[in-house]
Amino acid sequence: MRRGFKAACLGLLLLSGTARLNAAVVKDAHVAAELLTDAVTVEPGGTFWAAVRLVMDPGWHTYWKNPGDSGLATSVEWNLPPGFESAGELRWPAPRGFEDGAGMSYGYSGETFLLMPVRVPDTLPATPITLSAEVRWLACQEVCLPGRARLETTLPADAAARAMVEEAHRRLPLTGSGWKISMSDAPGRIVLRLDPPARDRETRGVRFLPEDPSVARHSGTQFFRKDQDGFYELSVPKADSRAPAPNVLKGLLIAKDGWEGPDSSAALEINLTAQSQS
Amino acid sequence: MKNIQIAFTVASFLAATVSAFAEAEVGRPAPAFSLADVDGQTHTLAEHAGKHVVLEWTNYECPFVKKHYESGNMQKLQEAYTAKGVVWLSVNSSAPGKQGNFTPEEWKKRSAEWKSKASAILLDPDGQTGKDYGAKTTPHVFVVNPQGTLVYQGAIDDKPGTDPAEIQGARNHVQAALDESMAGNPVTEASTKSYGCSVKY
Repeated sequence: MRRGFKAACLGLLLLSGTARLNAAVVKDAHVAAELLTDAVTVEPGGTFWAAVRLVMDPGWHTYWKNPGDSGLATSVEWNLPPGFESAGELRWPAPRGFEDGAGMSYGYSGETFLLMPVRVPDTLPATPITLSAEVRWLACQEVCLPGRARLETTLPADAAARAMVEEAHRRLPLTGSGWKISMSDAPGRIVLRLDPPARDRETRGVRFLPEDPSVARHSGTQFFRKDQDGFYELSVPKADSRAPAPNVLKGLLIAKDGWEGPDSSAALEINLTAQSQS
Repeated sequence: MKNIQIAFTVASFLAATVSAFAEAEVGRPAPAFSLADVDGQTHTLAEHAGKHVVLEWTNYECPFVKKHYESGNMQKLQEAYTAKGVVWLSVNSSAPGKQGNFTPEEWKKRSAEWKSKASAILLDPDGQTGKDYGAKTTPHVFVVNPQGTLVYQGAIDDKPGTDPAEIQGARNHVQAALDESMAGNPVTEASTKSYGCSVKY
């Protein structure tokens, strides 16, 4: 199944919103929110995915972790059952761009899922096992409205919830690929070097969406070139042109084609330090 | 301009320069302007040479602006600093028909309801001054020193959000910039990323 953006968005919109027994949908400020998990069985010592599902009314959008020129990132405050802990960071799908007279923002229209891995303790608490989350967002169309919802779900999940969460997880940006990505410093710019996994692997174009706007500017021209030695370079403007090299650069590299071939995601998360490779 | 969804294509990537306008640069002369206020009186930057000037982009319908006005936070700043001789100009760059574009009568009514303590409210419906400064959000604040140099641009404080409860613990960048500049010192955080609703050009 193709994992280009258009296909991903269409696919998610086709997932039916069948009623689920153990999750309630909360509607506020043009967004319907619910909390789901894929924990059909709750295994002591295991992990599962918890997902905040947001369905925006037509014409409205919510924001990515870096909202861009305006807007506000969605925030999730988790309340996990006793002994349960987060097993990693909140994971965001690749956003789309929303442009108006004032600039470019990043976020989601239609439907999106924010996912977090959760670790189950070795000893389960008494049933019912309930997860809750306080979610706040800004929904914008031409105007903006803040929204919030207190969401709850009990474990175990049903099969329909698991299907949705697992599909949402499959569509997340890649966290690794065969490509070697590194960064170097240049006056006013950060240069990303992309080495393909094999000589015949190519990319037709790449753009970087920074997670931290104080490090790199999302607006401004990014220069992309292929070196005759087969690697690629993408140069991105620093937020402050006089700043030194950043210690950390996190964000998404969005390519025209899948990073690992035609049926893979076109979005790759990178987390680079000055000396490391991703 | 309508909200345009952009799926990332190679064409938009490789050519992308999404900034449609210049941005005023901290450390350089602030852009000149000549704008009418809600009483029809014209204001220019030049007429306030010798004073600190604050330009506060606003849109009374935006939840981020409401956060600072319904809590009284913005008015408190306006009152405190105009008392010290600062000229505080609220500016609205909403295009006709867009959110936040009011008639002068509506402006006077609403600013009286909110007890705005701005020196004047300037109307920039064609957006030219907003674009000259690079105003992207409401609020978005610019501070100009008595010599006409831009010494601060960016967010009002360091807690992006719409909840008034965030104001208490936040660093107010505008207050800090004014205090530092008025004491003759360099502004330590001179340029921050503004937060708010987009300006409705």
